[in-house]
Amino acid sequence: MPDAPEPLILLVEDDPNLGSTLSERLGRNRYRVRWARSLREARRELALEPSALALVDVGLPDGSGFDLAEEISRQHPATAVVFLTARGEPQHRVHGLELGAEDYVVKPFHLEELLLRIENSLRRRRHWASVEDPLRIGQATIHFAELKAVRGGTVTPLSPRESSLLRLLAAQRGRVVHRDEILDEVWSRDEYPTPRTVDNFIMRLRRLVEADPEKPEVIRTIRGVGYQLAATPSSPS
Amino acid sequence: MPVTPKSAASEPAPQVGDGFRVTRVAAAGRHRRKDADGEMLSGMKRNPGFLAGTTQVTARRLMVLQAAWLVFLFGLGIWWVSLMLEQAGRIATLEQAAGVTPGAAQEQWMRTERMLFWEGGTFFGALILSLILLGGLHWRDSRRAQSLRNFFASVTHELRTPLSSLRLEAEGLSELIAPGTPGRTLVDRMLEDSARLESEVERALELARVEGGGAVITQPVDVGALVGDLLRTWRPTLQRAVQIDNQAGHLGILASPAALQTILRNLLENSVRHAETDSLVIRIDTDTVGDRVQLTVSDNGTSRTSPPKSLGTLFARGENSRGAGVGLYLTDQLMRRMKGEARFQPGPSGFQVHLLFKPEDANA
Repeated sequence: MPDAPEPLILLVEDDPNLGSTLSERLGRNRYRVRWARSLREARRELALEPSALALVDVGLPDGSGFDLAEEISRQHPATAVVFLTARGEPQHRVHGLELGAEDYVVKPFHLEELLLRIENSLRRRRHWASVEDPLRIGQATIHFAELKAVRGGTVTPLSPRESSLLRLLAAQRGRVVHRDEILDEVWSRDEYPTPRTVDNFIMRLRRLVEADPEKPEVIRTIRGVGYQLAATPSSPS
Repeated sequence: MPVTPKSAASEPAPQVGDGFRVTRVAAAGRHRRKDADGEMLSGMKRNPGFLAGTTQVTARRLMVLQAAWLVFLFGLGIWWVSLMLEQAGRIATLEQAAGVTPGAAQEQWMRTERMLFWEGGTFFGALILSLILLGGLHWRDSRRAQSLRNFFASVTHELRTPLSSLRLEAEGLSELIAPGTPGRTLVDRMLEDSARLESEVERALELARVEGGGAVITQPVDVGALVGDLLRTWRPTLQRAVQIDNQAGHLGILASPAALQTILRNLLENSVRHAETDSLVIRIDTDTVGDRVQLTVSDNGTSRTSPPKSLGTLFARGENSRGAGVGLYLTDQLMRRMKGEARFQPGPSGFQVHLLFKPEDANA
């Protein structure tokens, strides 16, 4: 069987030493790497060939990596964005993730950890590519890209995390999704959420998609294991 | 040969070797629940401040106190002037009643009034001048402290990128040089020094951030998962054998993951640096104490020559300590910012730090 093509990573980093070393190290780990030293170069590279993932520094000579991430999520939705930055303050981290980045890695980092995060982000994107958008789930139509749910004419905004959780369940419709898998896929590796956090999110989603959230039929609890999205979409009542 | 990137399922297990061992890891999975034993111990004195002598919160409190004191002095001055004027008026009336001519009594009253206005005016003038002086000095000190903090933060921030580069290059070298060779030993030392440097930079940056009033955002955190994850990447010095006994259970707490990681790294490094024992064992466990969740980090070394009351005070160092007196201070400050508490317990059989957190449902 032929090998899967090597995923293309766009590295946006203005520091010459870090940029060249990281390009070389990523290249030795099965990735094709294009290195852009500025926003302008990054835009040019993206126009030439869309990347599977963009590894973006925030402080760039001609602007902010946050702006580039916004552009990427608008113009290249298939490209996952992972920030790689020295700005580790909570407000920057939150802002980065709110822009739709898959992950936020603060320098200095372990290469092993960075590779793990890249691989997780790419896997998540692959899973999600198989999910229709918009998608009917129970009583609501979910617009993943627009972060909203429409039920009987009422529009409810979704948080990026609620959207990700629904997308994960939808990608594996009919299968039981383990709680640990949910934690790993939906929450970043820096967060360490508790099982109760997942339960709270599921409770909120049930209010959106279930006819009767007290007797859930769309998002089922598999006691001690995880959750399952019903195999057949239920028709609106 | 190209190396396939690791998936979550193939995360590196706690390593055995390099003098580092993790025993009885309760946190085998990322999300499993477990309780452990623990013990409550004494509290610690708080810290006086940093650079300008106070943290921002303390400075604000001090300003309020100063303002209250000035209002009190002003009130006292006004009361004194009005009382004196009233007394002078009475004296003038009594003088008239005693037969002193109205002109002489009036002149006496005017003299007294002039004296009171001059004295009162001088008092209020001096008060206002000292207020301006105090305000000016405070503003100058705050600006100096802020500039120092900004400088501190920007330097440490700028160091992060070359540190990343340095580590990647050293890791690359270690892959090229066979283990056991003199060259590899040098590279391993370089990696260790790079990790130490990173740790110091992180501490300095966190100190500047906390002292500058930076946000510490709490969220529900699985403490066992966080400890397990931290121990997977944390490596002590090559020169010292360390055994980690991780008994941290999967309890939900309200904490900032980044702040808690900083605290734990500090405590682990403190034990490695200060604990005097031939075979160092660091134990991490969790317990519930009343309505709080307690995370305890303890070691079996005799150490910490600082008097117990100065532990957690900024720049307080033990007589023979090699530390800068920042780690425990940061621990204390970060715990307080997370609405928790840190208790330090040095003793002949080891050093214990108890971290008390609010449980995850505390805000429900």
